[in-house]
Amino acid sequence: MERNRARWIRLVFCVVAGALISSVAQAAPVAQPGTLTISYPQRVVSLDPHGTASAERSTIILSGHLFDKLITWDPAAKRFQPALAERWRSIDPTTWEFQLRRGVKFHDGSDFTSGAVKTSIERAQQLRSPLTPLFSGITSVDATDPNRVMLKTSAPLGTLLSNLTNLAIVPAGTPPTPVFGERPIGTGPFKFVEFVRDTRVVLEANANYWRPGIPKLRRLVFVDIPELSARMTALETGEIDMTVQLTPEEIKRLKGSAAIKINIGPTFYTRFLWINSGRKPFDDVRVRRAIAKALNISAITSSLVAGIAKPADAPISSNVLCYAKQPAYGYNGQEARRILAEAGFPRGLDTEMKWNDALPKEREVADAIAGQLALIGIRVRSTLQPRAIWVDDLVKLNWDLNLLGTGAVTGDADYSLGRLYHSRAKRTGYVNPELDRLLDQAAGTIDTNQRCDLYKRVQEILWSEVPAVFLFESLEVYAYRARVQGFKLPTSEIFSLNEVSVSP
Amino acid sequence: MVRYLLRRVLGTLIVIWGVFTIIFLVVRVIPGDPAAVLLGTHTTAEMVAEQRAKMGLDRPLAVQYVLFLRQAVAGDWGHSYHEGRPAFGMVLERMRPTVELALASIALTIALSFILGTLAARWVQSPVDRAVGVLSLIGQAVPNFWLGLVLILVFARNLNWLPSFGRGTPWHLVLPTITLSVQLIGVMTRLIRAGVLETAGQDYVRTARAKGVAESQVMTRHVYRNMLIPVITMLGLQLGALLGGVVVIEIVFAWPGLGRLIVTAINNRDYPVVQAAVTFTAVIFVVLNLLVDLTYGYLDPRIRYA
Repeated sequence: MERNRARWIRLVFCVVAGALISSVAQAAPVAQPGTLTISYPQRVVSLDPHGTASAERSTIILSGHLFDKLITWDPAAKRFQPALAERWRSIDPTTWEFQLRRGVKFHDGSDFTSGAVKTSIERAQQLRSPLTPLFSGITSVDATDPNRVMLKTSAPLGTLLSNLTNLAIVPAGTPPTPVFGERPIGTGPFKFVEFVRDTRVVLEANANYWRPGIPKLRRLVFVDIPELSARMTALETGEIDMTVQLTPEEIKRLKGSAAIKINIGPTFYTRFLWINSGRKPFDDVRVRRAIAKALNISAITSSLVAGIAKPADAPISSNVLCYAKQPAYGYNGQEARRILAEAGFPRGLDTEMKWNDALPKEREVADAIAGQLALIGIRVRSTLQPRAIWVDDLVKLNWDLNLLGTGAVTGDADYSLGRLYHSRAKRTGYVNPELDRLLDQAAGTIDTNQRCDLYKRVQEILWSEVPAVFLFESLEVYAYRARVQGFKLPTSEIFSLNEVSVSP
Repeated sequence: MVRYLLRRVLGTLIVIWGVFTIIFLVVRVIPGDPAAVLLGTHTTAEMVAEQRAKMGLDRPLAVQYVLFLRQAVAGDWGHSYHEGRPAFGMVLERMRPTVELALASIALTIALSFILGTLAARWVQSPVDRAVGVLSLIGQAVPNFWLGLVLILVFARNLNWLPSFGRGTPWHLVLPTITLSVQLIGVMTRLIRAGVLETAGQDYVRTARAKGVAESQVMTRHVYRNMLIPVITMLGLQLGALLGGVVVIEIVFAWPGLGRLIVTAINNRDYPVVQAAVTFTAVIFVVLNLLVDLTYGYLDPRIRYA
């Protein structure tokens, strides 16, 4: 019996000791020289820049590393800059000419020519993605000269250039099928290596990139870590070098850390409360104005979303082309109650607000809004919907109030204003022929200054007519380890690591 | 035996058809439009309608059902609405990480629960027994997502011994496996302790000891073998559940398993993927059940199949 007991104890000891020794044998994760590992919170669905996922931020950000565009927008200089197109001009209001850069090669070694531009535009039109409307105004692409492209539009298209800053150029002859997203080929600073869904996307430097000295990294790895606290742990252990979209709590916790830098930058993203003007009683502008006056937006931005949003002062965010600053709504509960009574609701009213929790702190924001509206007698049933139901209801206008946000993907006022508030779009229930006329006129105007004058009027109307209460301009939070060098804050949430390097 | 097997296989096919039909209906009954989720908020009602037609969702339900069933029998489970790839291939792709984690977890569970259960049974009512009892109760009670986060904090962040997320090396398996196993070990230890206690008192065990059979032989040949049936049943059920994916653990540790695939597909109303994944999981469950039933006959020759 004694011998047996000794044998049992030995066995247990061996198992436990073995387990411990083997765990300790694993050294701390070592950062690879020249490799930057980043975790982006949104799942990567596809790498096809023209497919159904083309308006997803994760796809747009990855596209920016794999592909080039004909031109880019430079918000600092307030002008378009050459990329794959060296020069461009509008020959007449519906014809544009682009002179293409010579000597650029795709990652598979083929030459970049006008055929690639033609294929890219046609693919973006055929794949019926959320970005398709940006290019549906282009009626023909003439690519007879390999170094020159002529575009014809059905009508004068003021947004053509800003739309083209979103057109990733793929090789000529790429078929309009989503399979391309499995092995994308571009001319960009990084080449595709591997895409394992829900795990990682690996890119490596394109040594023959046409801009000298770029990229500075050897490898760029996007890893998928769905859970925020796990993402933060991986950043603190050095398993990843960078991540974005921190919560106010995480910002507070990491501020002052020597190993991790926090940088907060602007976005093209605006968050708002849509009010369905097509439904009673919200067809009465006084009810909508009462809602705007009842909301204490700066109280929310200074607490619940501190550091990740600031009060909006226009229907579009301040970095978007043609932004025009508006006066604050002027929070005043008493005034709001008075306007509501004047509109025939001295005892307030009952309504429902639908929302989805995709945006950071949306639950807290929804609670705050419902609470603030209750103070003036608007009793809000706040309904969190699963995305599949929420989007369905949203596009069918099946809601009274809806809490959401949108990014101006192209960085142009038209993307948000023309797409969402023209009565043709049927997105908010708001119908105003004057607004439609201004939007149509702006979309058909090629001169930027004239367009901005028209969009300024549009923004004034939207601000005073309140089809939406524009709540916040989102901010993007970048957190990275000290080894990440040369990261410059982008002007929107679409960031680039093309000029970033890592110290060993 | 052959007739029994044939009967069981036929039953299995009926179960799978039933699962397929139910899941086909359930995904379509729950509200939410796959076309709307696919296109997201940057879309219009017209584009959604166009997309629905492209996906074939505007056809009558019966037509969709017959089409899906006919293709499924031929091995084509359709393409994911979101990724455009074959749905069944996406499920198979997730099987390797899922099986890895499930087997590692079952192996750890078997090893530890046999050791702990036997120790507790051998020194019944001793401090060892009480310690094991308390530990297995705690193990059963601890929520695994919490345990996962605590393990990450201690072993990845503070001690920096193990990777905190992802899959690749055997080290990546350690924390998710432990997290996943702790509850199971709690259950199994109690089961094994009870089994050992019960069989150890049997006459044949006493006889074996009286004959002078070595203690290890007594345990393996006489005690363990006779208490295995409930243990195998439990393990079979648990393995089936693990192979269906473990969503919470997969999210906490960023493990690319089947559970996350199914949850993402349900959230996206990606019908082909949900159908393929759920039906496949059902097949695994039914086959495992069959295997467990067949093991009974091996473990206890008194059991006959007819």
